[in-house]
Amino acid sequence: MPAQRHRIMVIDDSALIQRIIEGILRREGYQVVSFGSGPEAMEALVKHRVDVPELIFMDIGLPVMDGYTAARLFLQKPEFDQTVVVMVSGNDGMFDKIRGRMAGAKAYITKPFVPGQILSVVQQFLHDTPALTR
Amino acid sequence: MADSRNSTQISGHLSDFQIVELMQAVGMGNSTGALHLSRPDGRRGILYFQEGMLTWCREYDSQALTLGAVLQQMGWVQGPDIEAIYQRLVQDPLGDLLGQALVERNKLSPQRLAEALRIQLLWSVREMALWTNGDYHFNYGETPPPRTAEQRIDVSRASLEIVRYQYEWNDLRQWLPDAMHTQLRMALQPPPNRSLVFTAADWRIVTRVNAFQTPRRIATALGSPEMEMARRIAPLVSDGYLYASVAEHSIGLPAVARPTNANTVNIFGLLSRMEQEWIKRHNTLDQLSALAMFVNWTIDALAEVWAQNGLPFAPDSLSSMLAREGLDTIAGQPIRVERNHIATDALARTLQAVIAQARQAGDSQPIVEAYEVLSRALRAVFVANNMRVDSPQDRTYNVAAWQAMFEQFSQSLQVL
Repeated sequence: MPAQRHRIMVIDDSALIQRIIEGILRREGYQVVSFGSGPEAMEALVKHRVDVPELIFMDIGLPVMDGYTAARLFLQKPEFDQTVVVMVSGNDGMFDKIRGRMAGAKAYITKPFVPGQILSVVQQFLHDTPALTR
Repeated sequence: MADSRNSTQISGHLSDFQIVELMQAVGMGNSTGALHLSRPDGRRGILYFQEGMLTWCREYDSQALTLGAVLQQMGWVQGPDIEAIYQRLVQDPLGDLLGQALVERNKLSPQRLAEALRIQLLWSVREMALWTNGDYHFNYGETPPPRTAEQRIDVSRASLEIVRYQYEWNDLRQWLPDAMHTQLRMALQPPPNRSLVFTAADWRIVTRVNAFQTPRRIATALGSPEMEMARRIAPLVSDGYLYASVAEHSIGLPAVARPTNANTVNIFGLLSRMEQEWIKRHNTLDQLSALAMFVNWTIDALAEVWAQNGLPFAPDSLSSMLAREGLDTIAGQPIRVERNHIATDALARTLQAVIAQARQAGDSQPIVEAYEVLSRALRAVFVANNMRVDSPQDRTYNVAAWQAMFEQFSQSLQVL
């Protein structure tokens, strides 16, 4: 499946991290939308302003609602049953990684990261598995 | 134009709308944005518009029309002068663009440079407007990356030129099937029933075909505008003196700029590192010092790419750039640069004095000024790097990221 048909979401309160991940992925042709918080992203999805993403890069230290809670909320919804959540954090602790797993995240990326890490996660989860059709 | 789901973008096929029609639609709508073109053979181009005016374009092709080629074709600068500048540019990753460098060395007047840039834009667009197969999409609001030499050409003026050019190519195309990129070579046998008597002008062309191979490069070598050259070359092909063919295109920066390609500088990785480092910096001195360190990190990344390309890195590249941009002092103290790195210890002493004075006077202005100098220096290094990236769209992504970074830095700067 060509990259441009895959939908990826970035949820991070840092505009810089949003632009970095967008840049890395858009260069490769992926469709990317970004939000500054979980509730903002949820509102856009509910109002059908964006499609359900196949993969979400979720910051842990988000305002209003932390990334673990937001991930759990998203993944509870049936339309997200094929969505992959990848946690992104400045902390490299085992405890954070376990909490991420418990919230349903499939992978964990520590900041600072290099483009290869972002692309390899996308490759692993979107190109080795059939893409969503909805 | 077919509307896509995304309202900031319009897309479709060039078989439905000609490029000149798309340009007119953009012009009539006074739109700002970028028209992206892609052909099935991989060739791509971008045309930028500002409020309906054509401002800049870029063809991703190793044989795209360069400013150097225009200057030589117009007879305004000689090849050896351009070559001498290139020799310097390949060693100076933070150096000026060709046009500015020629002006600085009094090889070209600013007026001639402006005229040449205008010609480069118009001729590149008319060439791309010959594309009839492929896709387009128009991104509203997308602007060229910084430090591109933007022009303002009325779309109706450009359209007239395109229509005139297309009319000429209706006849020429049968002999020069890939327009200015057509590959030429001398016929192995003299054509039957043709004399081998040439005019002096034709002789100059025939003798350069094997060395320069395309109408564009032959025109550049002979110092003649390429359209005139194409008109002279076509009869030589039709008479059988020359063979014409379409060769595979090499996509990317023009051939002359290839050695200084900075595509592999990992700018996103650098920005991510900088973000994390900045978060750890909680006081003014540490934050300002970090900016100098980031300049050095970026230079290191560039130097690595230069070394991979087998190019020497001019030892005064950073100091020349800082001087050129007026960023070589803070509070009247020179910023010391050693081997293309800001001397951070010396800078820290200067910054300490600036901060102490500012606190004593209860005036944050000197700190803000120091931040401005260092952040502009970092931005200038980014821009210099970005100019050496193949794809204008990739450049735009880079700019969006570093702008977000500077915004984040300025918001969290500890002033007093």
